[in-house]
Amino acid sequence: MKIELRVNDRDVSWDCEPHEFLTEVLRRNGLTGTKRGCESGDCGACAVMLDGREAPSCIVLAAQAAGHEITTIESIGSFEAPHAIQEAFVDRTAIQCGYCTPGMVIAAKALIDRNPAPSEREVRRHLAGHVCRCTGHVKPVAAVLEAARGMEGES
Amino acid sequence: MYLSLEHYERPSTVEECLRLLHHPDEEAAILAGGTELNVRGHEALERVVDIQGLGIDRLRVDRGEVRIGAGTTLARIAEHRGLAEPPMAALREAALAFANVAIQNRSTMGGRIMIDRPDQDLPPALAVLGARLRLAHFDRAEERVREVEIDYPTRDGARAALEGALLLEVIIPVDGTDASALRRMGRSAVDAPLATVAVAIRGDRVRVAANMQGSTADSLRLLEKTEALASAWLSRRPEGWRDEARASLAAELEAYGDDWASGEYRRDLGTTLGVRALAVLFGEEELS
Repeated sequence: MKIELRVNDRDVSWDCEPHEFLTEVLRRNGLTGTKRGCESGDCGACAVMLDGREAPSCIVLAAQAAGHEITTIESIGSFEAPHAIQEAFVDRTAIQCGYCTPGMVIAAKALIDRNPAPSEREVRRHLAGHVCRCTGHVKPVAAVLEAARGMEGES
Repeated sequence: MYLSLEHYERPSTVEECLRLLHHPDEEAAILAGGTELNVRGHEALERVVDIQGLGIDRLRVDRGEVRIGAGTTLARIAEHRGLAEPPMAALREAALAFANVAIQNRSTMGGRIMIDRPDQDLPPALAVLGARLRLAHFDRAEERVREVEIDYPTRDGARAALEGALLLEVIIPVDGTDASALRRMGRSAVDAPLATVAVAIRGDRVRVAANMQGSTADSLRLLEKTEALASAWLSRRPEGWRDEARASLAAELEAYGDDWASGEYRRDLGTTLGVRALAVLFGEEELS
């Protein structure tokens, strides 16, 4: 089947099977920053923004995303021009192996877009669905708080 | 994982949706947010019918009622300003407590109601708030859609009314409810609850309901003896009310099974949560 959606500010028309999940279709189309993880919506590695809200792409059928706007980690920042959230993750050494990092950055972006000055409690709530196998769960909270402070007044 | 899925449908009318669901030769299922259906394994399911095009995702607070479309996400329920007042606190707490933020952004009110499992926060909240459900059935004999309204199923066998139906809307009366609260606990912040207790003051009565993971099939319980005690305490509360409430809750909550945690552990947890929820109602603890 053919699905039409908007991905990273670009209208696309992609082929997919009815049973395929969004993670697979994104990755097949070159957006490999979205990671495969638990495939049950529990670990956060596959997080994307769907219409501006964080969504677990591993349990969203690609067909369900038709007609919607998807933002993946590729459009948040680049190696040459990282986003303030990504810079804060680096500055705070909130990255170990890096597998869970795209999902955490997506979660942070979705949070800060809606709430530019989140409390630590809110940051923890939004990162709670992101599992880091390297057990780095403290520094990402500090990084998101630092990024939010640094971005104040931007939006 | 889907092993046989060949058709994804997104109907734009309730009638079209029900016709697709009752296709005589194929196994079909309703797809809402996908946080349950898309996670489970399906060997034979051939068709999913996505309800996102039906326009049943609206939330209104109007004329003494809250009307929540079945497709409304838990995130929208948690964020809605009209639900931030004390009467709807149990509902808001149930929406906020479920899994993680990404799942709350996808999971829908309808999906949560149609899943008949004891590890759910919403059923006790809906039970104490006196929710009603608006359902659509397809009448094959007359070839037309029929809508019915039922009380939220809290009794043995009452869920049979949901069989084959499309849930359209949840209707919760606001007038007559003074306050509500919900306390739940899981192993971690994102785990399903081991026990959930919801309470509400409606008119001159206190309502108390509990859900216990690993409990029996009809796990949602209305705790009528504790309700009677707590209702009497609305006019005058004895000094040792917590001890009396604890004893009553412990007697009414069943210590059953050893799934996830022992039955005794869940009963004691439910008892503590029940006392704390009542303390919120009585103004002795703060809403979270």
